[in-house]
Amino acid sequence: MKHADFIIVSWILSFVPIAVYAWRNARQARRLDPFVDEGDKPWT
Amino acid sequence: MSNATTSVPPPTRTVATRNLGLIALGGSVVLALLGLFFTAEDVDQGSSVRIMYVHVPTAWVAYLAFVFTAACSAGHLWGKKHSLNLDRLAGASAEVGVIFMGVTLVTGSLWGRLSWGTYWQWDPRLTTTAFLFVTYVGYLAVRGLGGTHQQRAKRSAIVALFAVLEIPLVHFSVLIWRSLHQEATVLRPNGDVTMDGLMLFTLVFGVAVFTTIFAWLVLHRNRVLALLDAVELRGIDAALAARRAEEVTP
Amino acid sequence: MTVSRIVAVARAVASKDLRIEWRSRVMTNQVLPFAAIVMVLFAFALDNDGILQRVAPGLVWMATLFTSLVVVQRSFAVEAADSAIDALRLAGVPAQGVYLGKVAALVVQLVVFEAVLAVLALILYRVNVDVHGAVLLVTTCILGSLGIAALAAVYGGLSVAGRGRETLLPLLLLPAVAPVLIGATRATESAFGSDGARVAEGWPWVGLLAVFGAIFLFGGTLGFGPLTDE
Repeated sequence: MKHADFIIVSWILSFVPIAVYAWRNARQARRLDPFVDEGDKPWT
Repeated sequence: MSNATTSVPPPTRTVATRNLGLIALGGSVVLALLGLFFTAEDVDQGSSVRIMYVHVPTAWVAYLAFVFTAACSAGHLWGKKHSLNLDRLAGASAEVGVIFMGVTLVTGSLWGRLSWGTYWQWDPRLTTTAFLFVTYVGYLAVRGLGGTHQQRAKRSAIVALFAVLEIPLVHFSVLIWRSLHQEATVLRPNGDVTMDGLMLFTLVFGVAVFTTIFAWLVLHRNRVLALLDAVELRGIDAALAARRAEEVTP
Repeated sequence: MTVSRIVAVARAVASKDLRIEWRSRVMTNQVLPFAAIVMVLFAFALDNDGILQRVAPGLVWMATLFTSLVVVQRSFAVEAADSAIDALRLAGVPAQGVYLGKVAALVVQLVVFEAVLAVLALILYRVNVDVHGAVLLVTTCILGSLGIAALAAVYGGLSVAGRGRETLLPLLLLPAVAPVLIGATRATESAFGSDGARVAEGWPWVGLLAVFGAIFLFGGTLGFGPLTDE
C-alpha cells in the first residue's frame, strides 16, 4: 500500500461512519415521528 | 394523554439545526480541499501529515464527547430535577464518542504505520485511548440494561463518573510502566509536528469542523433518544389504560 | 446511618458471605481447580520454561483476574437468589455497609487464591522467592486484592438479576482494573526477581496499589448504593 492509500482510507474512515450513523438515525426518526405527540418532541 | 415530562413544543426541524448541518457539510468540503490539496507536505513526515488533519480532530471530538457525557451525567445526578434530558444527551454524546474513538484508533494506527513502521505503540496516549474505547462500549451496554428511564439515568451516570475517574489512573500507570522501558522517543517521531501557516490553520479548522459535526450529531441523536423514550412511555400508558379499562367492567 | 452501624452491617455481610463459602466449599472445590488449570494451560500455551519464569508475575495476576470474575459473580448471585439484597435495602440497611462487607469477603477469598497461585508459580514456573520477596509478595497480594475487590463489588452489583447481564461484568471490570494489574505485576516481578528486578524496586508499586485501592474503595462506597437502586 502506498502512502496515498493510507491517506485516502483515513479520510474515508473519518467521514463515512458518521454519515452512516446520521442516516440510520434519521431513518429511525422518520419511523418514530408519527407516534409521538408534537408536545413531547424536543426542540431540534 | 402522556406522562412524558420531557421537553418543549415546536416543529421537527428547526432552522438552527439545518444551518448547523450545512455549516458542518460545507466546512468538511473546505477541510478536504485544504488538507488534501492546498497544503504542502511536511518536512519530516512527508505526505502522512495529511492524516493528521482528520486524526487530530477526531481524537479531540472523542475526548470532548467523553467529557460532555461526564458533565451531563454529573448534571443529572446532582441537579434538582434529575433531568432525563441530560441523561439522553449523555447517551447521545457517548454513542458519537465511541464512533470517533474507534476512528481515531484506526487512523492513528495507519499514521503510525507510515511514520513509525508499526501499527501500534504502547505509549500512554494510545493506550489510554484504546482503554477509553472499551470503557465507552461498556457504558453503552449499561445504558441498555432496561428498567425505568430514571433507573437507567442514575445507573449510567454513575458508571460514566467511574469511567472519568479511571482516565488519569490508567494514563498514569501506563506512563510509569512504559518509562521503565525507556523508549527512545527521540528516534521515533510523534504526532506533535511543528506546523506553521496554512498547515496549522487547516489543523485548527479541522478541529472546528469536527466539533460542529459533533454538535449536529448529538443534537439529532438526542432527539431520537427522546422519541424512543416517549414512545416507550406511551406504550406503558396504553397498557395501563387497557388494564384500567378491564377493571371497570364488572 | 452512623459509622458504627455501617461497620456492623459490613461485618455481618462479610461473615455471612464467608460462612456461606465455608459451608458450600464452591470456591475450594470448583474455582480453585479452575485457577490451577489456568496456570497449567499457560504453560501449554507458552511452551518455554525460560519465558514462563520471566512472565510468571503476569500469569499469576491474569489468573487472579479471571478467577475474580467467577468469585464476584457468585458473590452477587447468592444475593440475587430470593432477592436478598432488595430485602436488605428495603429494611433500611445502609448500602455502604453491604458494599464494604462484600469487599471484605472478596478480599479474603482473593488473597487465598493468590496464595495458591503464587505457590503454583513457585512449583510450575520454577520461580524463587526469598524472605524479603515474600513480604513484598504478601503486601502486594493484599493491596492488589483490595483494588480488584473494590471495583468488582461495584460492577458485580450491576451484573446480576438476569437479562443477559452476566457478560457485562468482564466488560466493565477488566478495563477498570488495568491500573491494579500494572501495579501488582510490577511489584510481583520484583518479589520474584524476574528479569533482574530487585525487591526494593517493588515497594513504590505497592504504594501505587494502596492509592488505587483507596480511591476505588472510596468511589465504590459512594456509588454502590445509587448504582444498585432497583
